[in-house]
Amino acid sequence: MKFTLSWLKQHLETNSDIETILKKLTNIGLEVESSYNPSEALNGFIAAKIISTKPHPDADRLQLCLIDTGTEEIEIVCGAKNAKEGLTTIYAPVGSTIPASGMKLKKAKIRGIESSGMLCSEKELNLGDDSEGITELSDQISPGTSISKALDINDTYVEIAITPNRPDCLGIRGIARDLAAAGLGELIKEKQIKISTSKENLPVFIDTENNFEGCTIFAGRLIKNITNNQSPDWLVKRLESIGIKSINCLVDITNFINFDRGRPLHVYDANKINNKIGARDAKVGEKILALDGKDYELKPGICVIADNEKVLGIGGIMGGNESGSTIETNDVFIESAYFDPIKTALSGRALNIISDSRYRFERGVDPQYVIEGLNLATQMILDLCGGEAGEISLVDNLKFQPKKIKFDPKLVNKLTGIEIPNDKIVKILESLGFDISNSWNVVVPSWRPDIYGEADLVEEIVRIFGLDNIESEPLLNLDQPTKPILTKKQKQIKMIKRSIASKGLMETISYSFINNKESINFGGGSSSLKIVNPISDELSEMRPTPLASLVSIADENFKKGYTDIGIFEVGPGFLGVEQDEQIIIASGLRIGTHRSEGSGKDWQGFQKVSVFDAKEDVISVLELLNLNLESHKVERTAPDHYHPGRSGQIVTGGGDILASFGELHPKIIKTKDFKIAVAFEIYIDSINKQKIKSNLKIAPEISNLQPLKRDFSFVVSSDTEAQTIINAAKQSDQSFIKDVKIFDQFLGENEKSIAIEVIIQPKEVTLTDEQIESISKKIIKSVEDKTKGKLRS
Amino acid sequence: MIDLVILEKEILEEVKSVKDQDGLEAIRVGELGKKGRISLLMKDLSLLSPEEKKEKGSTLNKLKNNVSNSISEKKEELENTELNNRLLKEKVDVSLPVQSQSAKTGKIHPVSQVMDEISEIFGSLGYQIAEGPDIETEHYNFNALNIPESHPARQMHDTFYMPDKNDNDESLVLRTHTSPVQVRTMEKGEPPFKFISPGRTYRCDSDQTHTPMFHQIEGLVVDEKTHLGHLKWTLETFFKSFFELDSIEIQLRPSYFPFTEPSLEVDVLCDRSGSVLKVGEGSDWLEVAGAGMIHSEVLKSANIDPTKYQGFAFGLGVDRLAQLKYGIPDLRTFFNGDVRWLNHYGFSFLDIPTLSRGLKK
Repeated sequence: MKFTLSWLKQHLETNSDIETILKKLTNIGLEVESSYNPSEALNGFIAAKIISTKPHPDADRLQLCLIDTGTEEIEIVCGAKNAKEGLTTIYAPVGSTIPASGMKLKKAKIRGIESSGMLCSEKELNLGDDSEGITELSDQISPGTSISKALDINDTYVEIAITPNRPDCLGIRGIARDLAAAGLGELIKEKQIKISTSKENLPVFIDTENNFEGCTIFAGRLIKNITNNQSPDWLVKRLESIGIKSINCLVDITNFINFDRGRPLHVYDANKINNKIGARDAKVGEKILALDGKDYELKPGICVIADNEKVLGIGGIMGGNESGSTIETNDVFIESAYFDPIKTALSGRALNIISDSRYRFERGVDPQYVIEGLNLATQMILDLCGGEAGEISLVDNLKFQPKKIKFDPKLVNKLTGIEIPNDKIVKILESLGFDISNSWNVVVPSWRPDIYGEADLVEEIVRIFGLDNIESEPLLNLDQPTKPILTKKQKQIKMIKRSIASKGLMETISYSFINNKESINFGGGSSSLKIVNPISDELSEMRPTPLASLVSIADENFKKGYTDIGIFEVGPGFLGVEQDEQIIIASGLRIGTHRSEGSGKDWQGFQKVSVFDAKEDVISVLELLNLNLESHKVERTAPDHYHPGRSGQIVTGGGDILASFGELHPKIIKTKDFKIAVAFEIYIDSINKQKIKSNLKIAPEISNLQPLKRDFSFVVSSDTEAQTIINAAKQSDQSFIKDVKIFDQFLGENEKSIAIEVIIQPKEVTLTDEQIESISKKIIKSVEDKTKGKLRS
Repeated sequence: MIDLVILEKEILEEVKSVKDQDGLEAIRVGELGKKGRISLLMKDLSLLSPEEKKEKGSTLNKLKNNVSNSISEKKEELENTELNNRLLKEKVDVSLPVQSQSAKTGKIHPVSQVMDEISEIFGSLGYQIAEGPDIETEHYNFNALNIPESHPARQMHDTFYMPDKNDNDESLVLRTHTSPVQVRTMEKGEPPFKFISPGRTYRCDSDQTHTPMFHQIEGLVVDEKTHLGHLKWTLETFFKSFFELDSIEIQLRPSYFPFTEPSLEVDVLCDRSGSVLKVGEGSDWLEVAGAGMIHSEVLKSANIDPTKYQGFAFGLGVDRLAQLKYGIPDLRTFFNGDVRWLNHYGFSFLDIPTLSRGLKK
């Protein structure tokens, strides 16, 4: 909402300076977004009269102007064509700063002739768009007059943010009322308007068929024989000061009242109205060409203004092009109505029209100002356009009753902690227009549709009393938390993030939405996850996994020359829209040579990433989480975005899939610059379901006896999995075998040779040769049985 | 009879000039071995009379000891020389570079770090952490928060809409704020409540200061008497801890949110004069939070009796707090994953914020 200090002072009698006013506005909830006084930038700029001109001796396009600044005569070099003898213009002396360019003027020689200062165009002073020549001021202005005085621009332009609950401050008078309540002066009393009228009228109606409730008060008045000219200067300037262009006098008057009082009005050329005018529900198939030059298709639910035969406008939103007033209008009909906020909001949204009128009606205009607003407009039209006013025509279905709130003033202290004396509370409420004469039965003023209950009154009171009166009061937690602040899952997420980072991956956070192609690549693409109004096609649907985002991010980095990188994200993946289908996945991606040993070329050796780097990432995380994973195994069931032969999943004995890992499928990265990438996805919701090992641990068996190590080498078929051999060896004698490691493998055509080291831990006594021999035999038998392989001889 | 003095001199001379272990061993065997010169002389002692034996014996023993000692000394000297020679040959170029730590360890994103910092502070104040889904129902995102369909405030939210309804036939949006977690959490329990809810939020808006996704933290306290004074203390305490300041000045300004009444915005003192904005000093105000007393309609949505219970709620922009604390100029850079940025603004995985070690590095 824009206004100027001078306009505000039409409603507020105040001695406060602008700084105080601006500060107070923010303090009472009318947040100042910007303020600007153009005259401040023109300090030192003065009116000057050109006494004589002569051509510059060395430049065809320049002139030498002798000017009178009121105190002295100065020679100025000037390039403007319109610089001529007798012209009064604007002079910027040496030392001043040109507002548009920020250039500070110095004494300068222009083509050999010294020039002390400069004559200015409107554009250079930010006063207008005209850059053709120097500004031409009226002859009446005497040289030496300050420019802010000469142009009468010593005013402050203010823009404040009005929250949606304050339609009353969408009129400057409402802002003045708030400031007066806050102690910055007196609200100037309204002049009584007395209009002598003829019996002329135009019948008005509200058609309530189809339970139509879009308009509940419709009033209007005919004024005949007016002359719709250009508006007077003061009105044009007033509107321009808040960025509204003058159209013609009638339209300007409605715009003025809209911003001055927050009361939208509409003026029709009465001769284009057939018989009567009023509000009704739109019919299927109706159309209108609106004032913005666009055609709108109307439908039931939208309130239209119509006469006997046609639609004249969209109620509360925008008038029609056909029926609008023009310079030629002789007879005018002024509409002042009350359009329902909710219906106006819905219609405005459906038609996608944004207008000053809709903005006010959907927030709620003052239903008791319908007639007063109409009278004010009538008076202004009579004053500025002449004519004879007719009678007011009115339908009032609203029968507005002010809200009453039973208020307990103790609530102020209870909600805010501030002690405010009751008489102060009364004074604040009364100054805001609340009627409190009947003890604490507070009557809400008609212009405050936002006030519903006691808490709203508390807000009004503390807002005006000043929130700076709120004193800090400790909110101590005397019963200190006995359980952890974080849930198990939240703790796991924190651990996982830092664990993955410790493996050399950088954490990214990316948008939860990606494009359709990537979504399909990673198993998504369901129509229910497509955003209706995406910000772009690239960010159009909810991703199935953060891994999809990582692949694009890696590609961006790769294109910038960062070819060996590791990144991860712990974030949402969307399998569907239900709450349990929105899962958290810790995904990581390595490209190039980014392995946990190091990254990039290195004299100690470097290797391309492999599936085992991704597996190592997953296993490190799982080990860190201290899960009770007795019988988990690796299965070859990773999702389709992985290389089918070089990927796996960690699956628990109970069948929960904890993680996937592997090389990405070549098809997935076909369009990317990098050629190989390994990745993993750890499903945190699945992890969260697993039991954690107890904190209470039984004492470990720490033997004094040295463990034995025995090596075995088996020849098995190529498709035998390493985990089969390890498990077979482990299970052959669980009481002595502590660990089994694979330390070598040799791959043949159909067979492979796997070498294992078995660590055997004696318990109370050293094992005899016979016992060791027996354990060895068990290991060999178990592995041979499970793998159908043979011990290598 | 051999002159033992000359013999000793001769042997010691020999030991001294020997060049390697083999030569030294030959001397030892030749003199002290079973058939060595000195050993044989010792043997000859048995032929002598007891007096002579005593006299000669002592001289011979001395000789033997001297020779033995000198051989030992020489042995050690030779070993040292050999070791030194070997070590010199084992020299490597220690100027060869090694992989820097930053190549081997990753980084924690500043938003994660700041989230950890915030939960650390509110954890110490006794808050639990609550969560809710990103794809949220219109009910929880709007209606339950006193923002009905027609409310102009809905336009302030730039909502992303989802095409289909959920299994309960509810319309869905991407949550525009973390406030829906308020009602979700409260309707599952009984007052008093004290929790924060952090998370991703979405708005259909994109420029230098707005990204279509960002992070918020909502905080809420509900009991029978918590009021705006407690809210002010809580926010002051939070900002002091977060920015690690001895004192902080905050300004409360009236504002409007449909789900709080009274509603207010919170500014902290800041200094914009330098190249980096500094919080806690200067004379400008910087908006950092929205807050207020929870609206009675919201309490009712969560089946809480508003005539008995009351409380405050506040919302903080996490990304913005990270920008302020760590001097990050452009919000958009948070989410594009440029590894140079991540390396620059990211945190070591060992930088785990705790109140005992301080929240900063």
